[in-house]
Amino acid sequence: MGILDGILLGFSQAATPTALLFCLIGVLLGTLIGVLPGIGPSATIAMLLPITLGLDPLTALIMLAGIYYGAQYGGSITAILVNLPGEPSTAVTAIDGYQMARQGRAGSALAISAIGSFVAGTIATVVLAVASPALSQVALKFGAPEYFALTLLGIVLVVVLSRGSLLKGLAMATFGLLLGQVGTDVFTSDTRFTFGLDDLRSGVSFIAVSVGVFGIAEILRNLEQDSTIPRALHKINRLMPTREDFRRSVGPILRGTFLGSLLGVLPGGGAFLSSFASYAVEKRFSRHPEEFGKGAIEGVAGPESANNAGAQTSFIPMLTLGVPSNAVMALMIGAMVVQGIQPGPRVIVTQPELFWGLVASMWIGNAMLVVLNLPLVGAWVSMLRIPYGILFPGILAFSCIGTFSANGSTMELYILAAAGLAGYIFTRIGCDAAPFLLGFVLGPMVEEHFRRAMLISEGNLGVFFERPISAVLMLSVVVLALLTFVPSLLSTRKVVFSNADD
Amino acid sequence: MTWNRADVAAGLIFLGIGSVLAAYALATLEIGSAAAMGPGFFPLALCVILVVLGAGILFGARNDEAEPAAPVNWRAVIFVMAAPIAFGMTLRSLGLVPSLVIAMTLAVTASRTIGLLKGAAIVAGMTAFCVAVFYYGLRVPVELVNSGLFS
Repeated sequence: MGILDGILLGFSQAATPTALLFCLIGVLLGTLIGVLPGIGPSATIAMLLPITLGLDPLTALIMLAGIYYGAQYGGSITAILVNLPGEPSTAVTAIDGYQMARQGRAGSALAISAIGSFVAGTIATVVLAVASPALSQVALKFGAPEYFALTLLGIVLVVVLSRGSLLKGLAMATFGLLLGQVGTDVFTSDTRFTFGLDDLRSGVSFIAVSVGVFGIAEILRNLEQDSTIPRALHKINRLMPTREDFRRSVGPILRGTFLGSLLGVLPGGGAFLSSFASYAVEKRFSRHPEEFGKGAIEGVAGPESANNAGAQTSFIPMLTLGVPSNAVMALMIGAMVVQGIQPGPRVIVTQPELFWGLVASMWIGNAMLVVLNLPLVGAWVSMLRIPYGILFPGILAFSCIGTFSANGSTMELYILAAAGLAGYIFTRIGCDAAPFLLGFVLGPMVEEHFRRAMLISEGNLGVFFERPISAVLMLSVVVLALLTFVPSLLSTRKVVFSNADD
Repeated sequence: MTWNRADVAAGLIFLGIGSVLAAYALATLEIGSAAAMGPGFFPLALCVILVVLGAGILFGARNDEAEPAAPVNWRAVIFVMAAPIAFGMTLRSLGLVPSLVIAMTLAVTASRTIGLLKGAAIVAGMTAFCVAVFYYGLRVPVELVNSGLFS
């Protein structure tokens, strides 16, 4: 199927009233949770997973995807108006965006960020449409050794590119892989790590674990500062940017889109890394770098475009290889599995309507966001007045009933509580939950490919280095692992992530 | 010598999980060989990696200072954890409405900023909202109030 046919098929799938409705629900919800600092897309998607079980697979994915990129739009509203990044990926936007708001240019900053996001979203959707079929063609030739090497590379990259200690990241990924081993062994039908509990025969519930680690743990983290903080809001005078603003934003938007599209594909990349890289690039190439940090429009236009482009292209590895590049994509994989779809390169071939429908819906969703959000910005800002004391009991209630309804088992609620506590302990000891969830989702797949490869080679580990594609992937893993011990690289990484925390 | 307490905890936790699960795997699962792997081979390999990483984290925790962290809000931890557990224990025996009321009461108790009146309003509002969404909207198969309760 050609790309044009695919796009036509996609729009015929994504423009049905049901699909449009759930796309709208998704992007509105995404914007809402993007605006609210207490809750992020991972927690929301995890919480809504059980509810999407009743929908058909395409509608479910359209809504969940809308939450992810909608959150990028929403996060920038809070970043610009209150200097409080609703999402980590909008942390850099707050630097110059908030300064612009203080100078009475909040409207310009918001409009440029929405327009930049839309341009980036459109271009990145095209990239997604062009790159994915090609990549899946390559991936179809992969055997067990290639797949094992690829997943290994994905996990290591996520660890290297995410925040915090490398050893801890690797340990978390390993722990996730181990948890993925619980249940019945597919090769021998032996039960593993069930500790005599029948409920664990089919494995630890993905929904209970992800809702616990993201949803419940997030509540505990937020309640550490258990107080009501009044927030100062800046007024929006005019939404239309000046001609000068437009002129200065074109370059950053295009560069941001390029950077974001590229970095989004990398495991561990996605929206967060993209926005940060774009800010650094704009500052370096600007003719007036001294304006950065004091309300430079480039510092809003670039990162905002980059994070949206990155959010879109991070779907590429998930859709073509079945390898998630970040926690949200791991949840999307989980959503596909729960829906009975086997993620991997075959999805595009066997279910073209699913792939192209999702691609088309992303463009539609971006258009909805830009049309709706600028006029509605006042309404979104008023959402910030909702105190967390009302928000968190709601999150808790949804988590509980949602987790229960996925399987109708009360055992899941105890797993939910345990996972929530574990997730909170992880944060207290400085461990990021993203590599853990990634390992947990990939666990069964990694083992299957490893055991297949070992069967082929009769137990010779050399098989991973004998086949060319697998050898290149494995070498990248080794080089990456060695590079992380180079002191200079370690310190740059530290600087990058500590800047991002500000 | 100073120790980074967060890292020490992380190292010990991973060491502990790795060795306990390794022992459990050795006791309950057939390991096999690389050419003919049993169900325990891959899990055991992961346990060994986890133990090594845990030891590495512990080793790196020497002569290091942990960043100051906000104190743990024990009240929040206890009441937030209690909510899903209570919900799980009472959902079948009491029904959705009483179970939600109990869970939400525990939830609002978790925060000091919620007073008695506001708390009651949140409990009632959330219960009504969830019943509307999940029972009438999504038709989750549970009873509103367990019919066997009063017979």
